[in-house]
Amino acid sequence: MSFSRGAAFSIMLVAGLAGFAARIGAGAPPIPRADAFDSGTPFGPLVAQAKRPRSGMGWLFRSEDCGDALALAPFSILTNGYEPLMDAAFPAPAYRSLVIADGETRAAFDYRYGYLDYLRRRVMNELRVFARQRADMFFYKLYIPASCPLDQAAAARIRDALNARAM
Amino acid sequence: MRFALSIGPSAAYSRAPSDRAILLVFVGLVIAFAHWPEAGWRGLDETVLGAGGFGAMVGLAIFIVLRGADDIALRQSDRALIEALSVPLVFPSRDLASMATTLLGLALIPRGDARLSSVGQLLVGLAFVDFWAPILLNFAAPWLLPFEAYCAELLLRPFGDYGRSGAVIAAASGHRIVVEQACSAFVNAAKAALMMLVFVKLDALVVCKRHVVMIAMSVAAMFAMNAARIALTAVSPEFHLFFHHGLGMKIMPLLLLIAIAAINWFWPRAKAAAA
Repeated sequence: MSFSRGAAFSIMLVAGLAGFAARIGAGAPPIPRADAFDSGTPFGPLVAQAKRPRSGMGWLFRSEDCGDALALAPFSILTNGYEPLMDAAFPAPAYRSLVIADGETRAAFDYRYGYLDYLRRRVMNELRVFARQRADMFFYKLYIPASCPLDQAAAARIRDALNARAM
Repeated sequence: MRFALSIGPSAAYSRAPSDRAILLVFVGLVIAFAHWPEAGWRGLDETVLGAGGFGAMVGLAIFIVLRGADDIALRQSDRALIEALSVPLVFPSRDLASMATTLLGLALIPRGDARLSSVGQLLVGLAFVDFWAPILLNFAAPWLLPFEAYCAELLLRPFGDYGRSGAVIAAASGHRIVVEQACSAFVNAAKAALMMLVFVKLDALVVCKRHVVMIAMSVAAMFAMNAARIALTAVSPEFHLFFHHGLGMKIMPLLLLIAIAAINWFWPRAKAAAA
């Protein structure tokens, strides 16, 4: 089989022109909107507070059972740096934590598995030309005072509230 | 199907494009597509403009390497590869363009022709900076970031009471910083190595031991300056503001450029003087 210069050049030009057209047509994918919780906003069984945690990350919530002490923070799957800061601000055993990732509640987030899953999603998005969703890039961690009787049903309502925000 | 389009004086009257034209146009396409600005697509911590600058730098270096190279000859397999790699470019994906850059670069590196080999090295270097380094960093981060925090803490020890836990450095005043991927020297060290490789390729097409030492020195300079910057941000909230968000952030790339230029200027002369 012969691969002539003309054939290589023509295929390259056609693909290049189609690629430019596809890029211009696709435009910039939508940037996931920033998280924001206005004070007093109900969020599942919780209510958002005006003040932020001392670490500057995430938001504080109150509930009837736990007072003002619950904190929720988003962490990037790509950059796992801020989680230790929040863990230091809400340390165990005074606090227990609950991870909400990809619409499910978990005890902890495995970054390496999460990153492999992120790569899988990225490939699928490339093949289907889908924009990335916020859930592809972030997971959430809820810090609950050890004395707070937040049960699984309440955790599920928080998870559902996060999913409903389509982040 | 024949084309009148050609690049290069000797091909002016040829009806088929030259191999150099094919290579230059394909390299131009993959570099342009790999750096197509897609705000928000790569995550929150990557600067598209910075990567675009490196794409332009490598593209220019490849153009200079191939200037006057009318006798450059691609193999049939090269043309087949270029045809195959052209198809995925239809997708509006920077990742696919980076993978095409990698594959073409790897195919060209083992060539006997130093010009083609140099083009391959530059392409692989660019793809590494753009695509592979951030992926590798995500896997290396759990041990690399604490190591970089440790290096910064070592620099801070003579100046006060600082503690470290993993990638978090805490000052006695209560000021705390965390070293995250964007702060890591890993990707920037790859960029420093690529910059030095471009300098080397403009000087000589064949990389020798002296050039490898120069590239290693530029990587070491990047790691050292980044550790110093992390240490400075850990001193106080005011230092953090200056070196992480303020003018200090602009000073570091400038210092790196000066360091690379200094290595490029002094090291060959020092070796020559020693010989």
